[in-house]
Amino acid sequence: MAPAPRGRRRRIPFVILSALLVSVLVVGVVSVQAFVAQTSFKIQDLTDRTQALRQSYGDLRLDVARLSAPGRIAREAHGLGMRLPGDVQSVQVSEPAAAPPDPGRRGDSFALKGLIGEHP
Amino acid sequence: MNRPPRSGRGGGRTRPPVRPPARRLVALLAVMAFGFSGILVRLVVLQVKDASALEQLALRQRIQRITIPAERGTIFDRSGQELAMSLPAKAVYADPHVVTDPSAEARAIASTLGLDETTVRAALQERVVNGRPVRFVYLDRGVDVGTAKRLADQDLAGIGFLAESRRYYPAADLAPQVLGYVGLDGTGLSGLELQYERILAGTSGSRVFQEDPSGTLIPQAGSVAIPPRPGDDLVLTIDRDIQYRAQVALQNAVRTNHAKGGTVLVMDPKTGAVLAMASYPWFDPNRFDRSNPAAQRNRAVTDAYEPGSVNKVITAAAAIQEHLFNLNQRFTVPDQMMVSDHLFHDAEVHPTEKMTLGDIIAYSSNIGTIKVAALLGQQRFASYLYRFGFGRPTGIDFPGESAGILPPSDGWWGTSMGTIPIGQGIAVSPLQMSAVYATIANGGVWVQPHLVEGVVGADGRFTPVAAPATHRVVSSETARTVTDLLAYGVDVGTGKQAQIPGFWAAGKTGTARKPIPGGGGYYADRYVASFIGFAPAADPAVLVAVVIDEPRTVFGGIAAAPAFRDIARFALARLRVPPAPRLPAPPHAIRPG
Repeated sequence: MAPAPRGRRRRIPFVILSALLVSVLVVGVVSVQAFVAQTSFKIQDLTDRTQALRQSYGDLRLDVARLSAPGRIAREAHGLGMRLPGDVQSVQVSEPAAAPPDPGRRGDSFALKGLIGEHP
Repeated sequence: MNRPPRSGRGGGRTRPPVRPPARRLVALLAVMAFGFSGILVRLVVLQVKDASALEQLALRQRIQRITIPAERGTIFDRSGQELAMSLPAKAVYADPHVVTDPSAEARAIASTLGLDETTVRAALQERVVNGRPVRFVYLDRGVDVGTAKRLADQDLAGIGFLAESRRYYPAADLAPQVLGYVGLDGTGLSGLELQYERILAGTSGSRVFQEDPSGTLIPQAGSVAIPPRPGDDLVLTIDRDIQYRAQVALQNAVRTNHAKGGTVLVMDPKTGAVLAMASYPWFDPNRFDRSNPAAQRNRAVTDAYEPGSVNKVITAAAAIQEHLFNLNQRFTVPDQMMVSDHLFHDAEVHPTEKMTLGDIIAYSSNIGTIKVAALLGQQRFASYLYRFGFGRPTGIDFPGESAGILPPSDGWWGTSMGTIPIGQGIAVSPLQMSAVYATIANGGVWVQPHLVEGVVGADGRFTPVAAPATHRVVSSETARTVTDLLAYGVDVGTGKQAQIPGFWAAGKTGTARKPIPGGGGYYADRYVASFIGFAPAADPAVLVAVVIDEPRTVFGGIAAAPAFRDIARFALARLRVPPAPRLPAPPHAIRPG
């Protein structure tokens, strides 16, 4: 078999290098694309989750508003045997006559200061 | 013919013979040239001539645009409780042309959405309208997202979903006529929902993205999103608890008195803030389409009625303001009197009596009031009616407010100075009449009633509405004196049933005959009974108006005053107003024994 010509032998490393380079580039581009796609789907997932949580928050707000509605509470209370108050009597409490101040006696709150200090 | 020798192994190199092009090669070339020319022409057509149209077609196939509806603003009461709120929802539609098995799909849809199967099946049937096949049919609107997802998971052919929002009124029939309601498209149709549509609605957004023919998102293509701008929130002056208590009391009053309906209004007389407002019968705005349209009217604002004796307060205030007579002066009051060609009479037969102005108001004497009005004169009396706000809307932030009916004074009948002072022959809305009493309670200053306290923007900042308009009608001294008269009426007069234990209340009863629509006088047996008052009389914190339509017991002191008492007592407790002792009756308000 005749030996390969010198020119062809010289081209072999170049071809291998080129093939490697192209392979690396292809793998790189594919990886980047895959990463972009993955991130995009992740964003979509998170958006969906955010939306679901927002929906859940809204539902809970609605539940709270419904449950705290006066009509519902009144119905529940009525079911438990409670009734709206009838006639309410108002009692006027006369103000007790103020005792003359005793300069030697300090109020209870001041007495506490002995225990807890002037500036607790 | 000799052939040239073949070159063999070890033979010398010989040049191949040059042969002229064969005919078939020429033909092949011609075919190729023709083919390439065709391709070239087609390329020019596609890339130049039809480029724009094809580009648009490709974009239409790939690009999807979804409208993101704006979330409608929430309506809160004065303490931050939700009265109306919106949540995302889905509209479910069908393309009957794509539906493969209408019966099976109808069964699945009806059971998931709680619809009538026959109706759904009919909607799914292919049909032609105006020569074109129907490709879009709504099956249901405002479906909550969870239910819509359950349906979507069934992957039914020809069934699609559109994003929208649904309005909820969590307290159901609480203040329904005030709140109003929104239509299926989320637009306010009545009440505050309509009045504040521009503020509540917000602006829709959109999301643009690309997908392949199978509907799968093309992530590399990216997407553009214009977020929606949610509507602003409204904070009302309405107090949810007072509103509820007022509605309960009104319902009781209507049922107890076997009445046709009724209206209640609770107000802070100093600020004009409406704390509660309702008309019975009412409705549930969550199901407004099933309600009686008459029940949807906010009669406190949109309907006018002849107020009857509650109008006497204007006659009294005008007389006091004009210093027409000494308050100790006693009028000779028979139980009937001719004005022009009509005989007027008091509610009860009584001998001729000597009554002070306090007595006239406390015992609601028609004849006494007509006599006082005569001292004022027609023009002066009419000017007070106008200054108290009759004949024009109050300007409350609510759609369709009635201006009432106040004929110009130069067009009054001969009997008008008999009818109008006692509240007949004119028409006012319960709101207008309440504003008159609020003026007295507020030291003689009229304050524009309002329903909205402020707006909360997307940034959470609260912006109060502009301060309500005010104008002085009578002096503070006059207002104080009129308050004394009204309190005396509650103490000993027709308003006894309005007394609130621990508080000093002031108010006036009203009994008005109902006019026959289209003219022709009044019904003999149809009345409107009312009570309007405020408490505590010394420093009014709450004003309550109760109007009962066609009660069996016609007197306002019986039909409406107990409801006033219940509502006012609750409102005072709710507003943390401490009980105050009753002040002594004014010296001029003494009925002769």
